[in-house]
Amino acid sequence: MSLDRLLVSVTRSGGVTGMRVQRTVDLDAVDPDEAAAWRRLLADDAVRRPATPARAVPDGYVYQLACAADDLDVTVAEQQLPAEHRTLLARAVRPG
Amino acid sequence: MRCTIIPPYVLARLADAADARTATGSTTAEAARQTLVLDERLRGRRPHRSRETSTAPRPTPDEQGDPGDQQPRRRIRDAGTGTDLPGRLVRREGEAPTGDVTADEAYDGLGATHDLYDEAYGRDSLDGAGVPLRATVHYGVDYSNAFWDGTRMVFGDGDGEYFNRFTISLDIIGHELAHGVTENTADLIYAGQSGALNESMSDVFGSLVRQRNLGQAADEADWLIGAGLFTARVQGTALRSMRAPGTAYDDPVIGTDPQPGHLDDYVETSEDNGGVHINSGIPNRAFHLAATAIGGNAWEAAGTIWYAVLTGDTISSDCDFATFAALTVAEASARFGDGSAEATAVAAAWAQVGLVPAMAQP
Repeated sequence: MSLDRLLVSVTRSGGVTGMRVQRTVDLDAVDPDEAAAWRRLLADDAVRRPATPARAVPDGYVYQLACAADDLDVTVAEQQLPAEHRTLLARAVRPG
Repeated sequence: MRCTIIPPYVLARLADAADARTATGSTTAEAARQTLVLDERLRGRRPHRSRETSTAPRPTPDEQGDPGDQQPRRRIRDAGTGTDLPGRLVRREGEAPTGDVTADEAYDGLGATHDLYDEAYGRDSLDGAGVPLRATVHYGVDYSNAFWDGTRMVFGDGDGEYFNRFTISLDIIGHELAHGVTENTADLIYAGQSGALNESMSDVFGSLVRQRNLGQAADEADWLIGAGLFTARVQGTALRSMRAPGTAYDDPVIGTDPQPGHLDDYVETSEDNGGVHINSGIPNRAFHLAATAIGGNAWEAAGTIWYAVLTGDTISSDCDFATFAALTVAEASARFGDGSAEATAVAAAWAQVGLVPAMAQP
């Protein structure tokens, strides 16, 4: 395994359920379309430099996204993210 | 897709406490206040919300024209599994049931919530001035959450596998609307201890909506939040237990209820806005202890004390647990008398969760 392998850690917390989920996605191990979606997420300024939320959304989900190989470690509220990323992240943290 | 999976829903490895601590610090609190002002401007409202007076936006055309201008003014919309808000209007005040169980549960739940505030506390809707009660249902695909977006409560259908529809629990409806009351009153900053208090207010008044609706006294209620939300495959009864935080669920897939019930077990974390849904267990349990010690209906004496503090002039938006404890003891003393059973019960309740009220008592 090379050191710059793209492993993206996704941690979702918050929500009215208050349940925490953590998954690590290996971009080399997912299908090419999904890997492309993850690369779009990693390159998106809305993710890399999220605006300070005007006000927290009570019971809104909070995502912590980290990818050491891509120098990413951010906390972003679900409501700050474009729909495409929300869908991708929701799929990643699905239970089961 | 193949992921490197770390067991799902495992308890948070406790992150550096700095984030959570600074989140309640004065500098951050001031920054939060400034952003609140900015947000209010962005939303086209007055930046300052005076307590108990309306700052509600003017009704939009589709919210006018009710027969006889009935109260409450409920508005149920359907997002059709999309994420665009507010969604299509499906039921207004006084209109017949839609036949969609989710939309009708939301309508009924808004009514029960309105009744608690109106009949128990004399409060006209979330802002005290009759603002319409707005809900959007069928938000997103398999969306296992409900939230308050600053204007409306938004409900997902659940994934059907682990979670049922989120309107199934009356206390969850009450929980979301209570966020609207808090936003219009104490406006507790949604981080750290003030955020956990914000969450606890929603659990307290959400539970009181259900207890009152069922006609249950404090010693008859189950004190659960989100009962019925889990499908049969989940080993758990609810999302949270106010009576016994940390015992609501213990499931191999979705994990274990992480709530503490004592200040000694306060969880410092950078997640969940500083653990607001975790540490709310501490003030939740204090309310349960106070209400059951006082006896009778929890929405009466205990609920009135908590409501008066939440909506009073003394509480600040960065209120911490100890200050809130002191305010409730002072309120109980002022309302029922120094040394009254109520004041004694409230002080004892906080002591049992490890909190010594943080203001000098008269």
